[in-house]
Amino acid sequence: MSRPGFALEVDERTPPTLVRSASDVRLERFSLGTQIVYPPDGQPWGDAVSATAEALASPIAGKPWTARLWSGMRLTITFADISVLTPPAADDPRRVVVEQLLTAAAEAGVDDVVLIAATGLRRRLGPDDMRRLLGERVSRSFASDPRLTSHDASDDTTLMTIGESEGVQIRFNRRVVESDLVVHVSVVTGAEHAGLDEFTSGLASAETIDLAYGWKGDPAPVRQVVSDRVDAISVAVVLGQPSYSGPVRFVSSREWEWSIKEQAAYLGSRRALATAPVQAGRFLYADRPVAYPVLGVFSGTLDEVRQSAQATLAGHQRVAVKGSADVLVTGVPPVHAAAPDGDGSPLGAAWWVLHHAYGLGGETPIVREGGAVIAFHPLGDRFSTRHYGAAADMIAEVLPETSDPDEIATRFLPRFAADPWYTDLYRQRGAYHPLHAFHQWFDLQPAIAALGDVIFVGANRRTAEVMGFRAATTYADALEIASTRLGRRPAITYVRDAVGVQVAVS
Amino acid sequence: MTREFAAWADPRSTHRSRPASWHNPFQGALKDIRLVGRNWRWGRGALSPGDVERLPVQQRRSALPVPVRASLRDPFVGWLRRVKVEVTGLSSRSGDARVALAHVESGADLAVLLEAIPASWNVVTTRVPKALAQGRSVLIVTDFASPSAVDVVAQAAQLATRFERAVVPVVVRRLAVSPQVASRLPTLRNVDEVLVRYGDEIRDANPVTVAQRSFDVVGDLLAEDDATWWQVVSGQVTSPLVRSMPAWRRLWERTDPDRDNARTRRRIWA
Repeated sequence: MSRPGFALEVDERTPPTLVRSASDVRLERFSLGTQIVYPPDGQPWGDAVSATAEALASPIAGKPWTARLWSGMRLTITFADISVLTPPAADDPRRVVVEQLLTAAAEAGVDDVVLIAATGLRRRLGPDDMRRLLGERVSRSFASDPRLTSHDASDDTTLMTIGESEGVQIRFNRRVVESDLVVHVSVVTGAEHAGLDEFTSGLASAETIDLAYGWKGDPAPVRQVVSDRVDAISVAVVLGQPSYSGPVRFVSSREWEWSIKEQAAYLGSRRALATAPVQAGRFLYADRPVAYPVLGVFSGTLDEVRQSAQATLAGHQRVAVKGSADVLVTGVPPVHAAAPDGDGSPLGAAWWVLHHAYGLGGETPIVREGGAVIAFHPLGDRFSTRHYGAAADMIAEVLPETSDPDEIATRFLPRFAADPWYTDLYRQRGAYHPLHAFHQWFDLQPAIAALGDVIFVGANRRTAEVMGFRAATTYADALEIASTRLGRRPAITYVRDAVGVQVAVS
Repeated sequence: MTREFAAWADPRSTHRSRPASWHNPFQGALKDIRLVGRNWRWGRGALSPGDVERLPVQQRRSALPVPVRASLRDPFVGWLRRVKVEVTGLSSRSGDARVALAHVESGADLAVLLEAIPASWNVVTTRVPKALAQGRSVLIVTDFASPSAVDVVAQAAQLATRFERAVVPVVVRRLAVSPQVASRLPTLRNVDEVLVRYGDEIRDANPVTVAQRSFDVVGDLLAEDDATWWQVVSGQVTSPLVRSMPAWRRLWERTDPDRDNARTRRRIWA
């Protein structure tokens, strides 16, 4: 039902390869010898319902789910937010898991149930988001009263202090701490999903998240305190490579397998996107749910579940490539973890390239130290300033002053964090927390320090320059820029779709 | 401003937008066609790269899903068809044979159900015993409020137990009915919201038990109209029996705007 991913070495018979640049798609001819990493693909398979029932009845260790329930208990179900599972699933597995958890809770006579989206510094979810994640049944059952909420990292009334580290109070969601049992529902499609870090960064206060995961942060003390104070178990659904269907099926197909219908669909998309406004791309891709194969469902403690889920995921996603590359090439899809609504900022696109795609190699980066990254993205200024107001101001005000993370963390971050305007946008208007933009910038720093050049093809020159990157008109121009440092024949690796794949460099 | 930028990238410089120009939508089309057609052989598709030829045979074939009847859940197509379908409670898409026992109240409901039922179930609606004997799923529809429902459900339960298949109760609920207005293009105001609710599978050796549980489950699924799913599963409301009444009265009651406060949208943000 599935075929594994593989690394293809470009030869004379290799057709031009699909590259995504936000909502745009294009075919690019890569030079002979380029390694193209194709993710695994296949017919969606696996039954989330039966796999969930089995996982709840037989956890990795400990008692079954039903044995943990008793009448009169305080039960809290937390779940990963919309930044996980991009593009969105046609049938979100969180709905299946939460419905089964609630059905068992109802049978056990548990009345005091609260559901909290572990949004952390990301935007708080609205009714439509809740319905998309949890389905009509659960969202309508709980949304009409405060029992279905998004975590608020800046609301003192819903946070409580559970410890202290380096003079900073460690504060966590009050309901979670005071519950008899907490179940965290994760969806695992990448190496960063599931586990205590996802749980902590999704449900702590903004100051605590900054202390643990900000610039030069240390998560260990926070992890320890949270482990001691919160009785949490986890259910994680591991999903494989998403596959598009219908008119955009060509995005998931390998180019030499394109049928005439898929070729026509590609040509039609090119013309439509070239003619229509930018928002048309969002209409074409962002609102189009895709099918995911279910690789497995695990329940148990947070750490156990993360370990098992990540082992399963790695076994499915890992693709071996020969040697570290001089140049890593990647596209940026319109919908990704930093832009789940398809309206992401240039900072989010840079995060996707330099944190996510650069990190696909795990301990061994895909590109060698001093190498270059070539990415396809317009870095345009047409993004949602409602969602990413702080990111817009950071690009306009902070980065022209300095790109030094130390200086940014001491001079600008406290001002943004204390600004009631940003806090109000975050709490009331569905904006990302102001610290989120800073953390994205901090996440880029290891890649920026290791790389010689970061070049964006088709990018807005001003935005690229402000962020410290280079802009090139075409892929050939980008290679020309990189060649000044890397020579005329660099080793190139192109990750065709950085969703649902991990790269093992041999 | 402490950083130095190239003159063309200096954020302080005044930016003059380009003068408006006519955009040729076909610009670059020939290049696109040339790229797509590279290595293409009529009747045989494109050449495969050398590395692909060296893969095991089973890894060369395309295994992507063929688009199936999910179109009604596609917001765009659903919008065109003036119906937005949401499926809840579907517990399995596997191709195991089963008896789908559906409560529908109109031909339109049945049309929605036929589109929304998983294609992998491969249901048939005729020659039911023969289909069950061959291991195929069947779809049996009735209006549970009609006098004939008792007989239909009893026969469905008999068939399911005889062939040892599960019964899956389904209800189709149209939440808003808009009058068909004479407009050329559909508008969002005319979108009907239809919920297709699946119940848990019923397996029992006794057909009487299966029939009774089918009525109970359908009652629970219908009770979600007035209450919520959580209230039903946690036993906070008793499932109302399906009351016998003319179709227009059911429609009238269900579309009463003051009927259900739980359906009103409230803000989640505090």
